Amino acid sequence: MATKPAPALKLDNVTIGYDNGYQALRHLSHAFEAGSFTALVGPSGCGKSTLLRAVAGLLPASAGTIENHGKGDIGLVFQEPTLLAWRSVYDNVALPLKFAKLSSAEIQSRVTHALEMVGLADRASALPRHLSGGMKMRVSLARALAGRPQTLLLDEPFAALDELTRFRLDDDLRHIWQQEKPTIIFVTHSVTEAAYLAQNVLVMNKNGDIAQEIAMPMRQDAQNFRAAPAYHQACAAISEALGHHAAAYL
Amino acid sequence: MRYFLPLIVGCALLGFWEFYVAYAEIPKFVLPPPSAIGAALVDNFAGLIDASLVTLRITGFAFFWAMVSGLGLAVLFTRARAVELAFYPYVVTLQVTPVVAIAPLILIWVGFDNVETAMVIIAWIVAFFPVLSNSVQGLRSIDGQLHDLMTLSRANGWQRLLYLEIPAALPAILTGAKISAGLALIGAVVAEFVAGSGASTGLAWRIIEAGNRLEIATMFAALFLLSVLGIGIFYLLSFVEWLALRRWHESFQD
Repeated sequence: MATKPAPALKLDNVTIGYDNGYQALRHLSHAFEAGSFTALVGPSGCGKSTLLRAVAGLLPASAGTIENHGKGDIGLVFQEPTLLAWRSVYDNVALPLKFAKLSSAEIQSRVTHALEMVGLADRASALPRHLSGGMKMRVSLARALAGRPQTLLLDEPFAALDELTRFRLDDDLRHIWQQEKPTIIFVTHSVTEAAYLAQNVLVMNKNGDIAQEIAMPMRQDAQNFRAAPAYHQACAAISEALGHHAAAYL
Repeated sequence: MRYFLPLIVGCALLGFWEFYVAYAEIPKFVLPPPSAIGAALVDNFAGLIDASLVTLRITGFAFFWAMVSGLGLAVLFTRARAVELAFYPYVVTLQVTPVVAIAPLILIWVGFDNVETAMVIIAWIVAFFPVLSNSVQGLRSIDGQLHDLMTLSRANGWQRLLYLEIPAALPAILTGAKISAGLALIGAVVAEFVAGSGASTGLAWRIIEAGNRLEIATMFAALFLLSVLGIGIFYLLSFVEWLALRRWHESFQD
């Protein structure tokens, strides 16, 4: 067995509580390998989004430590596109780079590349209102990618889209991951999406802890993975993990 | 049709007014006919325009300061809860106290030598609150995820203000501005009424003066110019709103 790569991101005994005493995460520990693709599934309110926000540095941990060994910035894609309505596609993607004081030549090359990756190079001057829901989400993804993040966090990014658009974006995201190899943590409600995208699926329970870690099988046939038996077995395993813990809690 | 129908109604009303005044033999010092008002407007045109400019100047300064102070305070309020808690009761007190009641005090404090400054302050008090409350509302309604995005992008306070808060709150700020500009004119008129001396030479003062001399046609002419000012200010701000928002805001769907 090959030696494991160093973790890019290490959560050690992380607890996050809110002012009202509610604890969203309890003593959660996990190491995310550099360049890995992890999906996070679990019942509503189990702390999936809280975990992402904490890793992104938007929420302080009440206890425990979050170590980020990635050199680059953290990219976060929200559930909504979260675009500035008055800025063009190009200007939306460029804004974080502008704040980071990159040169305009560097900004231009990064934005153009990011828009090419999500297939929106020809819509650079469009305003968000003239884009479909799927396109807006692509812009949001491009904005995160343009920062060349070592860690890419996605919080149910495609949940509001129709299924066909979601399938296409899932494929594009896999493709981008294979090219750029960021460490991805992908929060989703969808068992099938988790099984389709990730190498590792973390199933969280209602107590705000990781109940089970399921390693996905290696893909033999990437083209037809949705039809492969291994995919359906993975879906079944995740469902069982979710169902089991839901039942244990009832 | 949009312009034609109101025009027809206006002409009909003026015609009826002209006819009825002549028919019922209403004296000129009670209700002058439109033709007499038109004549008064032409006769006193230079003086009335000068008076309009005075009123417009007071309105303009009051509106400018209302925008600066209202927007500035709104940003402070939304940035620091403590500032809002500390100042809000006093802002509300200033707003609910009838300005006519405070105006004499302001005149005494600022001094009759600086009547125009006093009038600007009085008009500002009236105009300031809608800018503040609309701006606060606009700044508060910004999506929390957009703020998260700014935090994540390491935007500093000014960048957050310029790239997110002001543009996102702009529709609400401009709504406040529209109300405020109208109120600044009302405030200016109130201030002139209260100042009520030869030291103020705006349109409202011309109305009082003409009233005292029973030159009712001149009163109407000044009143007409006040309405023109009010309408002009409203359309100017609607135009600014259109310029600023038409490209991206939902209220200007193409």
